[in-house]
Amino acid sequence: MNRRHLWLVCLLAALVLGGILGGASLAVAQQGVGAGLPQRTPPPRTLAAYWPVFAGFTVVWIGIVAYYLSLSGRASRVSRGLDGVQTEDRG
Amino acid sequence: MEAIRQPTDVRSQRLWGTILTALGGIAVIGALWMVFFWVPTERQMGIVQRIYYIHIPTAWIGEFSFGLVALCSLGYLMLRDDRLDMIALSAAEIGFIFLSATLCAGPLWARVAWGAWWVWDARLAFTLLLWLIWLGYFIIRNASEDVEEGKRFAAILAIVGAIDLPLIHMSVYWFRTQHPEPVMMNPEGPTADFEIAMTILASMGAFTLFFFGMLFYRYAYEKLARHLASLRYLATRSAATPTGDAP
Repeated sequence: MNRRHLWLVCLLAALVLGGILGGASLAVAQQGVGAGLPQRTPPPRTLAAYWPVFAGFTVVWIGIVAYYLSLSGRASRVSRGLDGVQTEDRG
Repeated sequence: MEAIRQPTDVRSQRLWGTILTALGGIAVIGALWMVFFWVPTERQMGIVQRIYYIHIPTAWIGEFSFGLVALCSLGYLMLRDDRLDMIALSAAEIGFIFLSATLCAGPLWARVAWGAWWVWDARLAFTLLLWLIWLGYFIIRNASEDVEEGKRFAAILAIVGAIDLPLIHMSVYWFRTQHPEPVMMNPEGPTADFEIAMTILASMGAFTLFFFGMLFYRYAYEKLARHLASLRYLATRSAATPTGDAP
């Protein structure tokens, strides 16, 4: 639960959020690809329909990462407390 | 001094926490690939149905962890083993995060599917009740002046509150409700299409790995925190005790 763990958590969070955004945008791009003659106007290539999905995944992962960071902070404080006890014992 | 710093088998728990969290991270990336590339868009609900792949796993972890809290609390009341209380507290904290996430992701789906963020449907109401019971669990624990009494009262609340779990699951059968029926935990087996069922299972597996990784971390932290508290208590008591040199 030190700085290395914080970096790992941040990296994981970035990967997850990047995966969500990149995956969704590619999925939308793939939807437009079709065979045959074009019918009327092609569907708009926007992410508008994905907003609840984005919001859902983002809220959940922000919650999990925030909890992880809070746990790391608390664990660091306990480690510092144990170091303090160790110093007092030496004194 | 190393004995003070690492009082128990915290290292192995941290190692397990790291392994399971890393595995969970890899599984999450795989599950995300399935959600956005592999699984087809559901015919009736459309794109918004993809919220299922985050809503169902978080609900599963939320309810599973409350079951774990209730079981460990029962064990704690019977055996008075502090380790069971530490597991219960750790699972309660993580499960609360996941259940809160469920209650956040659900309305996003409901707004599109039902046209309302929230309805007083039986399953939604029972899930909110579980969340409130959980909140009470932490309040009771921290409000009591006597730590042991707080642990006992919280354990009793967790056991009584676990009655809500079957109510949540069966509410869609017992009450007139607009919440969709279970697509995975059915007596007849999963009712969803193969791709949808596999994606939900992959997400549930990834979140389960994540949950256990976090549980190991949280348990290790709790062990160290209690050890530190006991060291400080001993230091305070020894400082307060007269040495016998005084006249």
